[in-house]
Order: sequence, then structure tokens, then C-alpha cells
Amino acid sequence: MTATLTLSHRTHYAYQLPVSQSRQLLRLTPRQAPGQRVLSTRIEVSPQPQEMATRLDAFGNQLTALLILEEHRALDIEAETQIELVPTDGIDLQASPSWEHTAERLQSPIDGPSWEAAQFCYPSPRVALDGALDFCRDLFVPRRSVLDIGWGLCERIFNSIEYCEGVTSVSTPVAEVFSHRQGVCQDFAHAAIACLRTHGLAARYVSGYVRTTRRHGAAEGVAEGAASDASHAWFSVWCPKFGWTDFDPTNNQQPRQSHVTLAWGRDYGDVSPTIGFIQGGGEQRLTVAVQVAEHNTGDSPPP
Amino acid sequence: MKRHSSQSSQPGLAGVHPQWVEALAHYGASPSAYDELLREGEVRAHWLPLLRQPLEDVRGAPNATGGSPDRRRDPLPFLIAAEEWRTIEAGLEQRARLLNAINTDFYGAQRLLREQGFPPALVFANRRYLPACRPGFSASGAALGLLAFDLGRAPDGGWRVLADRTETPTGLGLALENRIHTVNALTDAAQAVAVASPDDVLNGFRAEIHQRGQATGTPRDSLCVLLAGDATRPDYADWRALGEHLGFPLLEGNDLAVREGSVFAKTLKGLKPVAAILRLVESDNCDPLTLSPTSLSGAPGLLNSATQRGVAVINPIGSGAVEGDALNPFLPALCEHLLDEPLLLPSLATWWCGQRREAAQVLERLDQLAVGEAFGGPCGLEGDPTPATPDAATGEALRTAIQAQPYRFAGREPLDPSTAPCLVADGQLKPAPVTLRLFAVATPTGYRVLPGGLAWAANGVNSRLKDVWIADTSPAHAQPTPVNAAAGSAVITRRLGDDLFWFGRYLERAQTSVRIFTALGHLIAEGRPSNPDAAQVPLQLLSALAFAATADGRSTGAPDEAGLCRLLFDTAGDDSLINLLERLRHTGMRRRGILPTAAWQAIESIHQAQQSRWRVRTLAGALHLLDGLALRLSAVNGLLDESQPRDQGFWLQRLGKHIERLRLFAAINIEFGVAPAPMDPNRLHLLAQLHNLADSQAAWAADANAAWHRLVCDADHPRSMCHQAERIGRCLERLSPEQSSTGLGEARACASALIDELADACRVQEAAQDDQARRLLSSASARAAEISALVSAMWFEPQTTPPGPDDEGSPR
Repeated sequence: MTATLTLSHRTHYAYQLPVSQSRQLLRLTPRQAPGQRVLSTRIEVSPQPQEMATRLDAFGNQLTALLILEEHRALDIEAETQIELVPTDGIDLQASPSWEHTAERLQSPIDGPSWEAAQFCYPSPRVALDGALDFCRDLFVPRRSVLDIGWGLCERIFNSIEYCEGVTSVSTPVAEVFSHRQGVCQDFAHAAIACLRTHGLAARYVSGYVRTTRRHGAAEGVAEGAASDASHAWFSVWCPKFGWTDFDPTNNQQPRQSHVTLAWGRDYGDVSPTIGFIQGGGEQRLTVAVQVAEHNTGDSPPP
Repeated sequence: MKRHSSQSSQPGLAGVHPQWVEALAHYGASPSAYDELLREGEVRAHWLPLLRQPLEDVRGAPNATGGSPDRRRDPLPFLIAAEEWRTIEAGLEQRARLLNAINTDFYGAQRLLREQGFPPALVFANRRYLPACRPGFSASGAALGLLAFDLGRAPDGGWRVLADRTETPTGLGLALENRIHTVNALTDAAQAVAVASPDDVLNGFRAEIHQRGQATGTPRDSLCVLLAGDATRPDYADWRALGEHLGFPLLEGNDLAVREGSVFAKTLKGLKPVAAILRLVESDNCDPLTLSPTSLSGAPGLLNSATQRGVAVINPIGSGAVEGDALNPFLPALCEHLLDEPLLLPSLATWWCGQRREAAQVLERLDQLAVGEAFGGPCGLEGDPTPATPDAATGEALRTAIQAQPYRFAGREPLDPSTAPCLVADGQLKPAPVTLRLFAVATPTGYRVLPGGLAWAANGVNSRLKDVWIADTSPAHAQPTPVNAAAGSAVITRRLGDDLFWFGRYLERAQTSVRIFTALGHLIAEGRPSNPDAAQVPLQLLSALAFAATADGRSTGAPDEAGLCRLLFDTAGDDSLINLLERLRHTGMRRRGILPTAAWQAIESIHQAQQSRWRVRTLAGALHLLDGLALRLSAVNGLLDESQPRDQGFWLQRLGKHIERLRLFAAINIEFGVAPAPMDPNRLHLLAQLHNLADSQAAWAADANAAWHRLVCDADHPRSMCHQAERIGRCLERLSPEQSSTGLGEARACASALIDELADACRVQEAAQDDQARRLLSSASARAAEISALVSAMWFEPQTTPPGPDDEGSPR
């Protein structure tokens, strides 16, 4: 059943001192992804930027670059998107190729999709592989289907790593997550990615929003008043037969129509929703508020 | 003595200077190693020209570099025979092309992976491959511009490439600086060996940077700059030297601003467009927004500007993707495939663990191979032939690490490089293992290899830095290769132009003051002249010209010996000769990259001469020193005339020279009372001396008006005022107007007014009186000052770079 959602992502920076110049890189517009269609999107920034341009980044994500030359003490970025989620067919995880076969294919890719996937098999700036092997060795039994492993990993992380805000930051190494067994959705995703890559598999980091949650997390600071919806992150694993399949270890589920994909990349560093470089400002306080509103009429357009 | 004579009779040492023979007796090259100097006890032919020179020259050379105190120079150069150099040169030129082609593919279509079957991990496991640099890379036409290579000679005599450096190829600045130091210290030896000059290649590189900048469509007067780190970085001395040689300002990331896809330098007068950036900092540190959010260096938005062709970045951001040992085993096949040529110069035998069989071999021979990081070349300047392992793992820890992430490691055959003679502490010669750092640069005619480079001698604990000389023993090269700045489009940035203008002025001022001091010295030497008035003349002159005329000099009449020495060498006197020469050298040094090397060497020799001033205690010594200075200054002048390309910089320098000359000559003429009237013979004699016109005294005396005519009106006479005026006009015609500048027009108008005034005055000379002549000369001098001010305002700014430790703004 098709669903139409309105996403609103508000970012607010309050600065202690005036900011004379600010350059921001935003990934707040949902990218093209299977199962979703962006109907409309807008980004509003205050104060008014002198330059604002959009382009695609190396992974095909929508990137908005802006430059503000007006002096300011607060920065507001509001992204609003109307999006349609289309149901996708469920897949039989057991029917996916074995992890060994998949790893082999990624060593010698043969077609566009496998080449595309091959760039996600190796350590990346925020995902070193230390500690991963010990965490997941037993899951990788010979000839086990790769998506079954993905699911197993999702469960393993859900059950053995405690969801805990404020313990980790955006720069916490994965090895620390494995040893302390605490973290937020970003750490959960990074942990899964490290486990898959240490076995030569392709795994990518996905950022986005979730409609219904059991647990949730905010990637960059906690939303005030713990809004029911927030930025979220999960991982995706590749296999020759089915391509990319998403798993959400924070909620221990397979995101199907429940998740909106914003961007993907090798790790958090490739997809962070806002990166800024400012002059002045002193101390800053960041608040993020995400709302996902559902339009109940979106499923059946009038004939 | 007995041993000495028996040594020199050895056939292998025939023609070798006895000091070398003596030293070589204790040299002690290992019989198993390849020694660069000796082959079975005989001196290799290409070293002979050097060994015919006294070894004392080398021993006496200063061995400290300008950079960090722990980096010591060995003044004894490393010599390569010319035939051998040609094979190295061809090999490195090919490597530069090859690595550029690979880099272009990695950041473009990736056909090497997708179609040619090279392993994907070669790119995707490579931490120096930055995906963010890929969008737009191909369309931007980016290409490698500067590459460094570490080489060593294997025991079989063949050369191996130990490392390719494409990310931040350090050392070029030091190499160029070291060359000047070495050649200056060993002038005779450099002549004998006929050291090839790097100027031509460097000019090509400069032109290429300029051209790539132009291709971005930025305004014509856009800057080419070096993007460096701050002065605390260990490579800063290298960067600064490179900036000086290229004549480009050294900027840091926060000196740059990106606006609407274009890059600007933040100057005191606002934003100046930047056309090209020679990148000296790591890719990661170039753009905190897209590449490394934790890094505070770099210019946010730079990467996007580069990929959108808003600015040319050399080497392109991300170019470290093609350095590192992992690529070594694939280079022969890549060369065949991409260039359709066999690889000329091999790397060390390397096994990359990203391949299963190779990984097994490395694990098997873990204790025999040098195992290290597969991606990203060794950092820093020192040519360390042993690679570092990630996390410094050894033994079992290393084995486990390789098994976990094999693609991160490579093992290679260790190399015992050849040995070359090094000067050790007590002046002895000892063999030390040596590796080379050589450079290739892009030029409008393709990649070219710098003739020379750095040699690292692992001499005990500290390595020593040596110059690399290519020794051509064929008769055709018996004469040193002319070293000059090749005609071409040297980029004259504002600061560069400013420096050249003042260089022209200082050079002229120095020459004239040397003449004045010489005249004064001769006066003193001749004893009290019969006519006391004559002795006053030079003194009056000195005070009129504001040269170091001290209060006591004036009060006690003519200075004595000690007084003259004080006048010459008083560093406190603003316009003392010593300070003037220092300013000349300083201005020249900052722009020595575009001065012909020989001219720069002459300036350095002036510097050395003035360093010896403390030895001058007598009048004869002072006169001897002045004679030497006069000669060297003339040499500088002549060399500039000979070999400088006639570009904007040249005409600015010339303009400076003629303006200075006009002002000085006006002052002299006024002081001497030059007018269309007869002159006192004593004054005439001095005047002739000052102008080096001794032979024409007779002619002057014959005609009362001759001096006036010769020194003011005769436009064909190179020392006349009219001649200077005309030259000033001509130089101004050659300068192209800068954007939105009305100053040039005004300066030209001013110059033609000057020419007309002088011509008028000469036409009515019969009527001219002394004070009329004086007024005319003052007015001409004022006009020249006005032109100078107009030109300064038009071309020059006080600063286009933020003040650095060595930036004192423009000298005045």
C-alpha cells in the first residue's frame, strides 16, 4: 500500500558569539532509492544564504552547499520533503547466495552492480575493522546465506549492544563500541558494517527516518523533548542475487516501507546531514527536530 | 710523505688532486657493495673532473642548511654520469606519464578495474583514494604536475625506484636551495663538472602552472599560489624555498576564500582571484568541509571549486591514490596497457598482500622482506628505504594483521643501496649508503625531469643531504651549460614585480655608491690634495646623496681611513653600502627563481665578499673590496642583460634601473654644478671617475659645454639624463596595462613631459645659467620620483600574502 509522508527536519544552531561567515554542506533531501519517490522538497535557511547550490555527491546523494556571509547568532535550516513510499516485495533471506560466494564476487566484480558494491568492502575513515572479527566470528558459518548473516548480525547487535545515548559521539571508533557494548543507531550501523567488511562483504551506511519505532536515536544531538521521530541510521548488505538489502539493528527489523532513505555512503562521514565550517561563533548549541507526518489519503489516488 | 707519493702513482688515481689521493687512502669502500666513486680501486671517469679540484674546497664549504638544524648538508655532491642520467631521466619521465594516466583512470572511468581486471582493492581499499574527488574529476582535466621519486642503486648496478610520491612530493625547494649552496661553495668544481642547470625545467613548470591556471578562465591577472601548511610544519623550509624559486606566494588555507566556485586570495586590498594552486599540503587537509571535518586547515569549498574548474589544483586533490607499494607489481602491465611501452625503470620487487598468492609468499618470508603499508607512500622528506608498518606491528602481531586485512600490506625485497663518498666530521672521506630524491614536473612540452635533486647519505645516525650533479665528460660539454632563465612566460605576480622594480633600483644605487666610495677612497689614498676644495667635493656629494654621511664626517672635513671603513660598513646607517647590498640580496633572493642562476650566484658572491668586511682595516683593503664589488655588480648587470627574458618583470626591473639612475645622476650633476659652462678641472676629473669616463676627460676639457652635453643632453650617451628619460618612456611602453588602471597612462604622460623638458632645456643651453640648470635637474628628478610613485601604486601592493615570518613587505 502506497503511503505519502511529509518529513520535516529542522536544525537550529545557537551561537554564543556572532558568526561572520558560515559554510554548510547539507544532505537533507532524500535521495533516489528503491521503494521511495520524492514528490517535492524544499530547504529554507535563515539568515538568507549568499550562495546555495545543489549537486550529487560521489555516492549519488543530494547535496546542498550554502554560504552565508551575513553576520548572525543563530542559524535555522528547515528541510521539508513530501515523499511516497511504495511497497517492495519481501525476499527470502535464505535464498541469497552464500557469504563466501558473495565475497568472491566482490573480489572480481563482473557487472555494474557488483562494481558499485565493491567500493563498500574495505575499511573507511570511520569504520576500522579492529575488534569486529571476535564479535561475529560464529555467525559466519560456511556456506551460510549472506542475507541470513545480515539478519543474524542485526539480532546480535540488538541483543548484545545496549542502546544508550550520550555514551558515544560521532567520532567514537567502532572498536570501542565492540568493547563497551553501548551506543546509538550510528554505532549499531558501524558495528554491523565492520563485521561484514572484515569478511570481505559489501556493507554501506544508510541515513534516514523511521516511521514506527520501538527504539530510535538521533545522530547529532538529541532532539529536545525526545520527539517521536528523529534522524536514524541503519546498514545495508549486498549480494549478487538481490542487490542491497537493509537491516535496522537499532529496531531489530528489516526496513520495508517503514524507513525513508536520506543518503548512503561508506560510513557516517559520507552522509552526515549537516557539516559546517564557521568563522566566529564561540560555543554553539545544536537542536534537531524531526517530524514525520503521514497523509492517510496518499494510498489510492482518485481514478 | 712516502705513502703519499706511492698512492699518487697508482694508475687508478692519475690526475687526481693529491688531497683526494690522501683522503682516498683511508676511504675503505666495502668490496661487496657498489661504490659510486671507485670501481676496483679506480676512480670512475665521471668523478675525475671533481677530483682534480682540491678537496680543501669541499672541506671548507659551509655544511649547515638554512632549514632545521638537524638537517645537515654534505657539500660533496653525488655525481651521476651523463649517459646513465639519460636512462634515469627517460625512466622517470615515463613514470610521470604512467602515474598520471593511472590517477586519471582511478578518478575517472576506472576502466583499469572494470575492463582490464586490475583488482578493485587497489583503489577501494586505498585510504589515499578519496571518493569525494571523483565527481567532476575527468571533466576538470586535472593532471599530476609535480612528482618525486626515491631511487637507489642495487648491487647489480641497476637503479630501482623505491617510492613514487604524488601526494605531497616534498624536497624540490630544498633541492634547488641546496644546489645554490653547493655550487657557490664549489665554484671551480661546478665549472669543471659542467653542472646542468635546473632553470629550464623550472621555467617550464612555472609556465605550465600558469597555463593550467589560465585554462580555468580566471581573469588575466589572477595569482598562482602555493598552498602550504603553517610555519611549524617540518616541511616549511622546503615549501618556502620552492615558493621563492617559483616566484609564487606561499599561502595557507585560511588565506583563501571560495566564492561562487572561484578561489580568491584574501589580500589587504580585498579578494584577488587565484588561477592555480600548487598544493603542498595533504589532500585530506585541503577542504575541511568535504574531506576532513576534523581538520581546521585548508579552504572550505576548495574541492568543489577544483572539480568545477574554478581553479587548477596541482597535484589534483586525491593524487595520493597512485603512490604506495601496492601498485608496484602492476606497473609493468599498466605501462604496457596505458602507454604501450615497456616499463623502463623498475620498482623494487614487491608483493602486495591484496592478492592471495602474494600474501602467502609474504607470510612465508616475513623475516626477509621489508613489510609495510601498501597504500600511501612514506611521509616526510627523509628517504627512508625501509617502509613503516601500520601500527608498527612486528612478528606474530604483523602476521595476524596481514591475515586480517591483507590488502593493507605489501612486502618488498630489501635494498642495500650503493655507497658514495661522504665528508665526515674530521674531514675524512667515508663511504655511506645513498638514496636519491629526484623530481619530474609537468611543462607545456610534457613531463620533464629536473637535472639534479637530493641525495640522502645515511651517515651514522643523521642523514646528510647532498646535491646531485650530472657529470658529462664528453668534450661537447666541457663548458658549463649556460644557466639562465629561458625565454618564456614567467608569471610576474605583483609582489614579484615589486621586487624586480626595486631590485633594479638597488642594483643601480649599489653600483653608483661603490663608485662614489671608490673615488673617495682614492682621494684619501692620494693624501691631502693640493686643493682642499677638491676633497670636499665627494663629501658634499655623499651628503647630498644621503649615503652614510655622518655628522662627524661633515664636521671634521674629509674622512680618514677609519672614517671611510665606517661609512662603508656601518650597519646602523640606513643607506650605508652594507645595508644597501643586503637589501639588494634580500630582494633578489625572494625572486631568485626567475633570476638567471649565474646572476644569483654573482649576488651571493657579493654577499660573501661583504661578509669578509670585518677583515678590512686598511684603506687598501677597503679599496680592494670595493673593486671586487664593482666587478661583481657589473657582472650581475651584464648577466641580467644577457639572459633575462624580455617579459614584464624585465621591463619593471629596467624601469627601476633608469629611474634610479636619473635620480642619482641628477643629484650628482647638481652637486658638481654641471651646467652649460666651463668647469673646474678637479671636479671634471672626479666626475669622469664617477662615470667611469676617464678616457674622455681630454675631450671634456676641450669644450666647456662638453660635460653638460654628455651628461645631460646626449640621448645616445648611456649616462646622460636624456638617455634615462627616453629609456623610462620605452620601458613604460613595454608594460601592459593592468585592469582598471589609469596609472600607466599617467606615468607615460609624465615620461614624455620629462623627455620634452630635457630636450627644451638642451635646445636653449646658451642662455642657461647655473641655477637654471640646477632647477631643471631637480625638476627632472622630481618627475622620475613621480613616475616611480605612479608605477608603484599601479602594480604593487604592500602585501598580497599574509605576513609570514620572512615577509617584511616591500623594501623601500
